[in-house]
Amino acid sequence: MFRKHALIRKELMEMVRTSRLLIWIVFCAFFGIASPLTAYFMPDILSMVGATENIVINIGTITYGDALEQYTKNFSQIGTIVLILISMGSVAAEKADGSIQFLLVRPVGHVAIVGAKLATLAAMLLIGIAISAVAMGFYTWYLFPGFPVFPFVVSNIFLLLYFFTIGSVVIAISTMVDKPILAGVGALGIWLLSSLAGMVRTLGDFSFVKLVDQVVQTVEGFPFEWEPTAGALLLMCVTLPLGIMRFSRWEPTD
Amino acid sequence: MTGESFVLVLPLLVLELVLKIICFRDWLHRRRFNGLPKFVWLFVFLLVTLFGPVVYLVYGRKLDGND
Amino acid sequence: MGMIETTDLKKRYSSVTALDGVTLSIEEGTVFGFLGPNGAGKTTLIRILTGMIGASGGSYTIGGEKGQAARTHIGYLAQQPTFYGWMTGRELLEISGSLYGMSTSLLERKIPEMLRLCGVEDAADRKIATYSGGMRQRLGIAQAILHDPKVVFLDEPVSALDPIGRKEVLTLIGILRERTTIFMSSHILDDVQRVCDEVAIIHKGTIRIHEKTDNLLRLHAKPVVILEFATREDVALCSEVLQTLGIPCGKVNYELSIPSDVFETKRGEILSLIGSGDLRLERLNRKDATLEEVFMHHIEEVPHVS
Repeated sequence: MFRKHALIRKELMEMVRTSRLLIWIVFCAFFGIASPLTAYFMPDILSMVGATENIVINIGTITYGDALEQYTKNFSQIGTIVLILISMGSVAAEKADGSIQFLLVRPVGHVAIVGAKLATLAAMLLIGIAISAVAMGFYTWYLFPGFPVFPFVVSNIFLLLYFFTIGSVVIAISTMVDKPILAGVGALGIWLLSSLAGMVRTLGDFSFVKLVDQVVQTVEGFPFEWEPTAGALLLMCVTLPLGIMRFSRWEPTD
Repeated sequence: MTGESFVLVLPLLVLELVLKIICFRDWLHRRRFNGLPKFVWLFVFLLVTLFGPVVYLVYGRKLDGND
Repeated sequence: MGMIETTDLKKRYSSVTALDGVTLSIEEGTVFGFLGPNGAGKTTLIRILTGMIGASGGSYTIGGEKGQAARTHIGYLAQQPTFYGWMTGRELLEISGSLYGMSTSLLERKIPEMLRLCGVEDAADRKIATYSGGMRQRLGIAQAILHDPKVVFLDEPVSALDPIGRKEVLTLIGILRERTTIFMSSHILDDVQRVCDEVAIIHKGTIRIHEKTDNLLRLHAKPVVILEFATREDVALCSEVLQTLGIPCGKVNYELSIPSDVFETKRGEILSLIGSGDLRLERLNRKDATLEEVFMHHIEEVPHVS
C-alpha cells in the first residue's frame, strides 16, 4: 500500500514542481473562456477587419454552436500539442538522465511505475477539463441564451477520454525511447494518422479523434456512438503493453 | 469596448499576467537555459501570448535531474 | 548459504560478452571489494544483482530470495547517482522508504537519524538540484541504507570525489560494516585494501581471483625488488635474459620487479648480469606487498601510464 502511494506521490510532486499541472490548468481555463468570447465577438472582429480592408463581410447569426465549435476544434488541437509537449519527457527524460534507476532497483514493477504515471495524468486532465468545462459552460450560458449547460458539462467526458488517449500514447512511446523529443514526434505521428484515418469511411469511425465530435453530438442530443470510444481503448490496449514490454528490457546505455 | 465586454475579457488578461509573472520570477533566478540565450527567452514569454510562457516553462528551463 | 549467491551469471550483448559465467558466494556481514579495470563488467554485475537489468544466463539469490523479492533486501548507490532535482533530500528519503514498505511513523524516526549519519541534515529541505557532488553522494548513501537492507551495493562510491569527500565516504562505509553486508566496486586499489574483508578481481567478464584480503596479500603478494632502468630497451633486454636463467620477473614501463626472496638468493648473478650487459640501472627499491601487485598479475594487459 505504501508503495503505490509513494509512486503516485512522486508523480504528483513532479507534476506540480515542474509546472506541468499549472500549464495545463491555465491552458484549459484560457480556452474555456476564450472560445465563447471569440465566437461572441466574431462579428465585431470581422467588421473591424472589413472596415480597414474596405469590404463588407456578411455572416449569419452567431449561436452557441459557434462557441462550441471554437471550443472543440481549437481546444482539442492546440491542447493536443500542449499535452504532448508537457508529457513527452514522462519516462524518456528519466531514462536519459538516469533518474529512473532510483525506481528500477526498488521492489516496484514496471507496470506500477507506468500505472502511477497514467493515474496522475488522468488526475491532471480531469482538473483541467473540469475548469474549462465550467468556464465555457458559464460564459456560453451567459452570452448565448438557450445553451444546454448540463449536457455540455457531461459531454466533456469525451474530451477527457480524448486527451487521456493522447497522453497514454505519449507515455507508451516515452517508455520505448530514450529521448523525449522522439516520444513527442511519435505521438504527434499517431495523432496525425488517426486524424487522417478519421476521414476514411467505416474504419474512420473508430478513430479516437472522433471523440471530439461526440462532444457536439451529445450537446445536440444525438445518440452515443461507441466506435470512437472503442478505438481509443484499443489504441491504449496496444500501445501501453508494448511500451511496458520494451521498458522492462531497458538498460542504461553508459 | 463596453464595460461589460471588459469584465468578460478580464479573466483572460489575469491568466496571461499570472503566467508571465511566474515565468519572470523563474527567469530572474535561473542561470542556465535551453535553446536560446537568457534575454531572448525574456522576450519570448513577455511578447508571445499564452504560448510564449508555455514554451518557456516546458522547454526553456533546464529541468533534468541534476539541475 | 551466503548472503549473495551467483551461479554462472552471463550477460551477452550482440557484439560483446560483458559477463562470462560469474559464480560468487559472499557471506553475511562481509565488506566485499569488487576490483577490475574499467569495462571489466563490474557495473554490469551490480546492475544484474540489483535487478535493474536481466542476465542472459545463470541465476542469483540475495538473502536467499530471487527476483523482485530479492530487491526488498538491497540498497543501491549508482556510480554517478542522479536523483530528482525538484525533490528535497528529505522527500527523496520519504519516497524511498515508502517504496520499501516502511510506515510513516518508522520514517519519522529513521530519516532524521540517516540525515545526521550522512551529514546532510542542514541541506535536508533544499532541492537536490542545489546539492554539490559530495552532498549528492552522501544523500545517495542515506537512501541506500535507510531501510536497513541486508546488502548494500556501492558502485565506485568514491572514485568521483575529492580527497575529503573520499575520506568521509570511506569512514561512512566503516560505520556501515557493523550493520550490513557491503558489495562495493572500485578501481582504486588503495581504498579496497583499506576497507574490504574480501576481494574479487574481475577481468574481461570472468572472476580471476576471490580471496580474503589478508590471505590475498599473504599468499599472492610477496615483497618485491624493483629495478628501475633508464630505457625501455634495457628493461626488455634484462627481462629476456633473466627469464632464460629461470628468474621470474614482471615489467612495467621502466621498471622490472623480482620477488624479494628470489632476488636475495640470486643477487650476485643478477647484478653481474646488469653490469656485464652495460644496462643503465637508475634505482633499486624494495617494496612491500600491496594489492596492486596482485591486481597487475591477474590482469595481463597492463595499461601504459606514461
